[in-house]
Amino acid sequence: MEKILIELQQAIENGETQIAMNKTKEALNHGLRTDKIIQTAINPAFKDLGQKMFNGEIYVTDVLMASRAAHAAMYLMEPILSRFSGVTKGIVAIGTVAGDLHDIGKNLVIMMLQGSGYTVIDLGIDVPAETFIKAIRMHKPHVLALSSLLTTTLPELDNMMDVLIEEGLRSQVKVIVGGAPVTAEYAGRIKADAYANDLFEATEAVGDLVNNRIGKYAV
Amino acid sequence: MSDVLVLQQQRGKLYSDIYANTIPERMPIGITLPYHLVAEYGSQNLFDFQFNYAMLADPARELCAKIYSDSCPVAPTNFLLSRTPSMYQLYGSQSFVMGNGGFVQHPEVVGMMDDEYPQLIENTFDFLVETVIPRQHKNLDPKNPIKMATAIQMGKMALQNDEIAFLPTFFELIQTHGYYPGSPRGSFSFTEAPLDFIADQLRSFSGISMDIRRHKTQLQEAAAAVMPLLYHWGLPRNIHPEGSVFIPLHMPTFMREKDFVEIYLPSYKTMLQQYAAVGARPNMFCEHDWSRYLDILLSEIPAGCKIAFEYGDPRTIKDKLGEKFMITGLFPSSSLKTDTPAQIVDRAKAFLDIMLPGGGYIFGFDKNPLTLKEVNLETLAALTEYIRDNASYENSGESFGMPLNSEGFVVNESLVPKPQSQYLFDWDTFKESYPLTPDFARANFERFSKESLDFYMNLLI
Repeated sequence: MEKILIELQQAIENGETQIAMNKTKEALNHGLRTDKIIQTAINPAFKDLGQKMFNGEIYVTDVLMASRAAHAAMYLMEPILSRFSGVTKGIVAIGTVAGDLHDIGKNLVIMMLQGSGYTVIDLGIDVPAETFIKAIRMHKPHVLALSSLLTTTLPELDNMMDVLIEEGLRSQVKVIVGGAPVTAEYAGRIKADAYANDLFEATEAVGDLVNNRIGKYAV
Repeated sequence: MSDVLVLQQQRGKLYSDIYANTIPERMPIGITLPYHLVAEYGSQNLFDFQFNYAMLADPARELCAKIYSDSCPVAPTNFLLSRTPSMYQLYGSQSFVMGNGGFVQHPEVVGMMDDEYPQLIENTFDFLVETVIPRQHKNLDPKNPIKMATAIQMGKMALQNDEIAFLPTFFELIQTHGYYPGSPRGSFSFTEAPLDFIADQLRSFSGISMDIRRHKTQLQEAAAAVMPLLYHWGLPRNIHPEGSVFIPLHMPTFMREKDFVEIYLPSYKTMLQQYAAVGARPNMFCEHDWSRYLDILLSEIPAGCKIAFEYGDPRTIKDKLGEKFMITGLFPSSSLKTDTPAQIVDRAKAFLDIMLPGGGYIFGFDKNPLTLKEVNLETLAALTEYIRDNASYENSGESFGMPLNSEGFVVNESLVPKPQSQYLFDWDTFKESYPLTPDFARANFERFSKESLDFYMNLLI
């Protein structure tokens, strides 16, 4: 049993989608619980990948492949996970703020979150505040993730925080911000809950927010 | 001779010396202020000027009076550097779209599916024109030929209109301030490295990232197939030492060195060597942090190339690459906002202590600021004036570094064959149909064909 999980973890780290799917099926066929598969194979795979990326041993292309493999594994488990909603990690609504059409970073974060077992509502690019508000009311996400890649769209993050307060939704959702010009200091200034510098930090920070932990990415 | 003309000649010599690998009297300081910043300085909104660039004339004059520069700080309009929205909007572009903040941006787009590599490899230019461009620019779909023809005609006129709108002001500023006018007409061009081209407009960042793993051989073949087209697209029509072929490099910092060497480098290196062989200077912008690639650049890139760096340790870069290449960039533009005039002078002094000795460095920011909010103009003025007054060389007139094509690369047309396509002009075929056409007409027709090629390729950068 342990061997299957190790092989699944390895397949994810190597970005081998087909093998990851096969190993997930094997694990399920052997009666392994989904939470055990996630905790013992998928989460450690991302932890390893994060460390390797930090060490400069792998790069975004590798992470992308790994995310896809993990996502495929999660996809197979989805019918079971949906029967036990308690197992799902949380809901994240994510979008690039108004005026900004960049989506590569956001898409990578989405893949990481999905691969890690979160339900992600992708609101796309150039998202006006009212669309974020509508999505919060409709999907009731645990976390709102806002991305800005331009210095010129940075103030939209600040605006979004004001709109959340005006709409009476600030206490209902945790907010994480990121993107090239965003800093922890800026995130603190606009009173976001967390800031992440890369996709691994984003995934970890979302985990903290969903579980109401004050982690190292809190601002 | 007027004082202004003398000043212009002195400035011209600073640049001509550098590009002849001769240490000039001092390092030139040429800055470029983005149009959005100029518009804001003139209290204009960020949209209107993009549909009438002549609106920038007054604030451009005021800024030129305020900020020292050896070249004109407000450049002429150009589709690539200005991302003129009229043209893109008339083409129905998906790949260059204006956001509601007034900036034309490049969303992640897919112009080619991962099972279309064989078509790209087999018939590169035809595939781009027939399949990729209509996906990226919805009004250029050959399924609706009249609409396509009208859009092309209107888009070309819009671009021409945009390009000439600011030109009289640009020439006026050059004459009144004695600016270095830039490299001779036709000596500056641009292209992309083959793998970046495939990534940028064809497969997207996510797509190419997966193709590196899943379609490695096809990707290598595709890079080799598109390279001659990219080479000819970027080849300046008037090659000159002060001119260059601008090549922004996107993907390498997201790749492993091993993949870079195996997939990215082979076709790109051949392209650079062939540019060097004809005396066209590659002018590459290494986006992000290339610290882990410095040894590869040193061993693989032809001498005399101009390399702009965004991030990295200036001393390491200068020590490793300063002899072989011309280097620019690295000065943090964020300091224009955070530093006082006195602080930026201290920063510039420390920076020049590293970069100036031995020649070969041309001042440049890591990246250009976008808006006025990012720049304290007094700080910028203090910076350029400090460099003007303190970047002198004691050993001017001595030679430095390695000239372009020190290695003696030889032109080899078999490595960069001219693009063939049913959509490009072929003199022999034409002559068969129209035998009475005089031979001197050939050059014109071939120039028109090259301009048509450029038109289509310009839609994909």
